[in-house]
Amino acid sequence: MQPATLDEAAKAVREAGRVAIGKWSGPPDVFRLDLRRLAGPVEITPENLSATFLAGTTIRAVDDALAPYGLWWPVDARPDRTLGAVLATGGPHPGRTGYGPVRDWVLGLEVILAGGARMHLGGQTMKNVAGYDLTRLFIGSGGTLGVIGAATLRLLPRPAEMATLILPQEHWTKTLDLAAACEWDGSRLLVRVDGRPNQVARRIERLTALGGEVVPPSAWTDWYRRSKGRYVEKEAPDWSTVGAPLLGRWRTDEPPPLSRLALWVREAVAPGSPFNPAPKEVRQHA
Amino acid sequence: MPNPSLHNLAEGVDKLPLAEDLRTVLGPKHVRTELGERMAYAYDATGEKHLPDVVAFPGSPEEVASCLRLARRYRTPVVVRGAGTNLSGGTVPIRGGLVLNLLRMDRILSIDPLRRRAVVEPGITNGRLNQHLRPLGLQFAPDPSSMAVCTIGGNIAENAGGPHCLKYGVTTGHVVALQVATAQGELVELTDDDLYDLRGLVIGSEGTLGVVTRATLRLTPVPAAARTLLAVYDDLYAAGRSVSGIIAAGIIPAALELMDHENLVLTRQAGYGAFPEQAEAALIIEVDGDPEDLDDEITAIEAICRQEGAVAVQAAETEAERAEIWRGRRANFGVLAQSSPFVWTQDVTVPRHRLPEMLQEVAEIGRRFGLKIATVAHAGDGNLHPTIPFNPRNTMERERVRKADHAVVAACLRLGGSITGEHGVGLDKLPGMVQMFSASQLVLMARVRRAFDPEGLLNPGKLLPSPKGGF
Repeated sequence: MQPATLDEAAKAVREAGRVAIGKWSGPPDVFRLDLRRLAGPVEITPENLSATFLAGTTIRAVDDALAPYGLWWPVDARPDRTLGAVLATGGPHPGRTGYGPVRDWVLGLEVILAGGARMHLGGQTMKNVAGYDLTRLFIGSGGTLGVIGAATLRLLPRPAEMATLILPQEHWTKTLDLAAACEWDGSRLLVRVDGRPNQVARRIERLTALGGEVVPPSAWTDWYRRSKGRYVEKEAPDWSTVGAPLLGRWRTDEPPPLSRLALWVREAVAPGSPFNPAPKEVRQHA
Repeated sequence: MPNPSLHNLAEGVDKLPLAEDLRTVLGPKHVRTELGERMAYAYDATGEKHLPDVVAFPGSPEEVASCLRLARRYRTPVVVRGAGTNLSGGTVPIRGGLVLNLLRMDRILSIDPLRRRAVVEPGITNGRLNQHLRPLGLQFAPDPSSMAVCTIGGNIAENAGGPHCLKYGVTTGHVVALQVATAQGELVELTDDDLYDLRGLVIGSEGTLGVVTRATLRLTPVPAAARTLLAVYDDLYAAGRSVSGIIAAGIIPAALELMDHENLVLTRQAGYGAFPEQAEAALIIEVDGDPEDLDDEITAIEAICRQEGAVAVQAAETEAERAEIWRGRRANFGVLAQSSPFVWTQDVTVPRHRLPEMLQEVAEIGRRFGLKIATVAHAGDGNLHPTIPFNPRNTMERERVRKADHAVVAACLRLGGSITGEHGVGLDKLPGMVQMFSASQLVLMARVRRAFDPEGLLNPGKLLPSPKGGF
């Protein structure tokens, strides 16, 4: 089903049993909720460096809407993915190297909970410690706690310039100091630098000294295309601890097992676990 | 003043079975039940007082876990405590019970400069950790004003902020993983790579979801250069507009702090000569990064300040001048607290562009209730600390402060804000939680709390209001 409004989506959740969101491959009898019609900006507030979008908006559309205001969301996930998918999975996001995880770039969420109730989590302020940080809990939870219907994003001024380089991997620590975004294909690094023109020029100079070569920005598109559907085991702890040029966290049909504490939290937030049920039995923690 | 509870004033609490068992586990000298010792842990920076029954000083994660298992066996409330510098009453043991003081667990376990990671115990102070990191060119970025004495465990429990969080973000962005002792007395590892960000839930949970026994921190390179401006105004709102103007121009300084007239006078009188006494407001603006980049930013910021009506914009010429400005800013709460028998501090946060309106609201509320409100703000983040000096023995004045507090919170919420940006809810802001959240939002949070702590023993009576028959 493709709801046209958040209320329609909430009603569908209320009436459905188990719900699979987006491309989640649940069991055959599951109710399928497709949010792609719930797309577009709700509010853009340049003076606060924030903007609210519906979850079905693609990353490309988010960027197109922000550009005229000189605004930018530093989460540079694949452009054809929806905001909801990026938030539900928490990535992948090459910009994690320079800007930190997706969770750091969301101020608030509008979610639909088990039973179909709508709820605001977080808000629109940069700092907020009132109660528990449920916004972060939902981001990266694989859509298992509720449906993300809209999100208020924390933004930055758009960098005046960006450049993309390919580097050999051996100087990775020095590279990561200069990189805004970084991906790794097993032997080379794909790096983006950004900032004011003189900053970018300085960074390019330092990276070329390390053997880097400037390439057109389309290198990212090629990279995404090649990496589509690919899953990288966390076999390279060096990478994952410095800023994670990881392509994926987990396969969309097989989440990692949850700890006992996490299962209790899931039962507290989404009683009965109606969202994104596993195609097979979920592996549970001993 | 609030009364220490009478039920546990009596001598003989050293015969408490819990205390006896704790002594077996921790050794007699790490468990205290004398009245004087308990008095020392009856209050925090807010001034509310309530005696704990027993104070324990565990020395390891395993000992913390053991303490929690014992507390559970005796169904005794547990309040975890670092330096007690929080500004919301979060560490006052309002239901008595066990205070766990983590100051013995103050080691740095490892620093990995290459991967920018440090593993520390919760009792280390923010200041001492940063002293160790400096020579490596690294820092733990969150810088609450109490950083010289407050602990990393406390920073995590409160999700602490600070002036430089404008650029670097609050504590949760600087904690990669936690080891937590649960209410059941088990040690669990929570990381930011987990499917559910339980790490993020525990950060800022004010000791209600578990006890942090070890933290893996993300370290940040110390910027190559920093420059600091002091912009002086004869109009508070012109200062507020300058803040909005700087953000709207796409500049995010490292810090952007506002001090109003009352604060400037008190800070100057306390001996910090850098601050003007005549002005209505001043902004402390700091930019950092590569030295080559700073001139452009300083020029742009100065132009915006002057355009909005700054009467003077002075740059700190030397590192000593810069340090002096920050010492004065950090001394602010202490200076205010000394000016009066008691101060009520708020922590309201509004969307950044609402700051000038919020400043006006606060001034108007002060006039309406006949109260002197001094405001200092992490202005770039829209986070204000309106502070009201008052005499708690004057019940009339106390009532006016309560009403003014309610009005400030209401104004902040009307402008789309949050009742607390960095100080936490604790005890002080429980009434604000009801103003800010719907019943269903509060119920959801209470369910999460119960998932972690089914028996309600971790810092009970804090963070979430408990209406009759509710959670």
